Amino acid sequence: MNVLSEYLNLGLGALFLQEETFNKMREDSRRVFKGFILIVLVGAIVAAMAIVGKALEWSVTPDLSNLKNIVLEEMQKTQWFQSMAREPRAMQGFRQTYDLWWQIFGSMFGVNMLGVVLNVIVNPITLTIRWLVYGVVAFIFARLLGGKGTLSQTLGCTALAVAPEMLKVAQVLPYVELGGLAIWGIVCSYIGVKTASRLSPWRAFWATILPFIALIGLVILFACIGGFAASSLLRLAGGGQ
Amino acid sequence: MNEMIAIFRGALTLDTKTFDDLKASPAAFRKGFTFLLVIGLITGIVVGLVGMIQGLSTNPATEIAQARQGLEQTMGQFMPPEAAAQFLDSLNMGMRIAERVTQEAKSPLPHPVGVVFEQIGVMVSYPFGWLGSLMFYGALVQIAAKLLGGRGTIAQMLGLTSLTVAPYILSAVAVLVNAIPFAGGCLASLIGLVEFVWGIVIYVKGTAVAHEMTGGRALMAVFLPIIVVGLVSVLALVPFIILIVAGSGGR
Repeated sequence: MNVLSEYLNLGLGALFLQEETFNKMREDSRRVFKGFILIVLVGAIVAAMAIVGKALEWSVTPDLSNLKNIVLEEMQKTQWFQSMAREPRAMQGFRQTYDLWWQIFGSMFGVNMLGVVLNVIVNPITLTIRWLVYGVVAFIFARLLGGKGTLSQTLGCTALAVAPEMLKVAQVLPYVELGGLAIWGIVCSYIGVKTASRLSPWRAFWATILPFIALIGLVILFACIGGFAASSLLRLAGGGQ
Repeated sequence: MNEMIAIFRGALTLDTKTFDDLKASPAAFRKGFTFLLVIGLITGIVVGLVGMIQGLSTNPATEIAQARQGLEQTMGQFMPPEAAAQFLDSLNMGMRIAERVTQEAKSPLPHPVGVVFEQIGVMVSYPFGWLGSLMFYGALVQIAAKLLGGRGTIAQMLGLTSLTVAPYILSAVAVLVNAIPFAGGCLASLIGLVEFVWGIVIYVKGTAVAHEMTGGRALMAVFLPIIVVGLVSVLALVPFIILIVAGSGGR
């Protein structure tokens, strides 16, 4: 119980942006381990709480396959549908688009209970990977900008950026939407990087933001490469015909 | 609780001591966030309860029938007969879907339970809607304020600007006033305008105290992100405008 309250205090200190909490984490000899445990605990507990909220949402959500059938049956009674039904190719295209729309609709408004339960395992893993990748990249940028922290100090302090996720315990209630947590997490990361690396506010700002800019750059680069590869394949396929 | 009431009163009256004390507190952000949470939950509970009463007292089938009647009347007045026939086809389809969904698409628990659950979500989510905007804009204003020589930390900035939500407690009144027929909507809009302007004034005051700036500089820091976004949008549009002008000139 003492261990849990220790982690709760650690999380609350970071949540309320108390620099003292970040400083303590920087000097802690077990900072990476503590950071890892905090992330796993927060990830697993909030995901477990969300099972209750999502189960309550599921209990008042109509069956989507039933809705899909009702909409299709009523569409079939309209004049435009009947005229379209005379064209087999148009019907095939319609069917594909209709199924696709319902897949998107289902993922947006339906409740996938299996996914929600699996999230108890997936969420801590995702948060841990995000933390490790961000921590290492932020450490590199901090060093390039003259930071004095070690990798373990940077990882320990940036692990505290998981703190705003704690507020997701409110999702034990149905239909709760929590805004602002991502920005709050970035603010925690900024204080973490600043504390770990002993950088000036502006340098710490850039060391915090540059990993995101680098990520966006990588996504654009991969999208361009993917797009180029896809268009080349299409051209090859077209030429082969 | 007394501290929250004092902060509430101080924020609404722009009391400098309230802002200074909050800035000096080592728990400036925690206090600001707690204040936002309390005001948001009070407002959210009123908004959610009104939504719950409205949701539970309306009959979906009657609502659909009224909507159908209203649309058919409007359509008959403003549309030519051919377009009206096509529109009627789609309208009937939509209305039949709505009717069948209310009658046939059953969930494990009855509809009123769903209304209650949705409004519980509204109540708890209410402060976080504000928090999202305050966090995002607060981070931008913090950058602007630092560029203008501000000396506050991000925790102080976010803590003090959280007081902006104080006048938004009037939203709880606005949602009740909105239920009054005829004048209710106008009155609610007026309340919305008052809380918006009052909120901006508190935001500027919070920024000024957090960064130890004059009111003018704080005002500049608050509006700088909007100005920059506006300028960037205009600059991004310039090449398109040049292309359009060049294209039309060549013809």
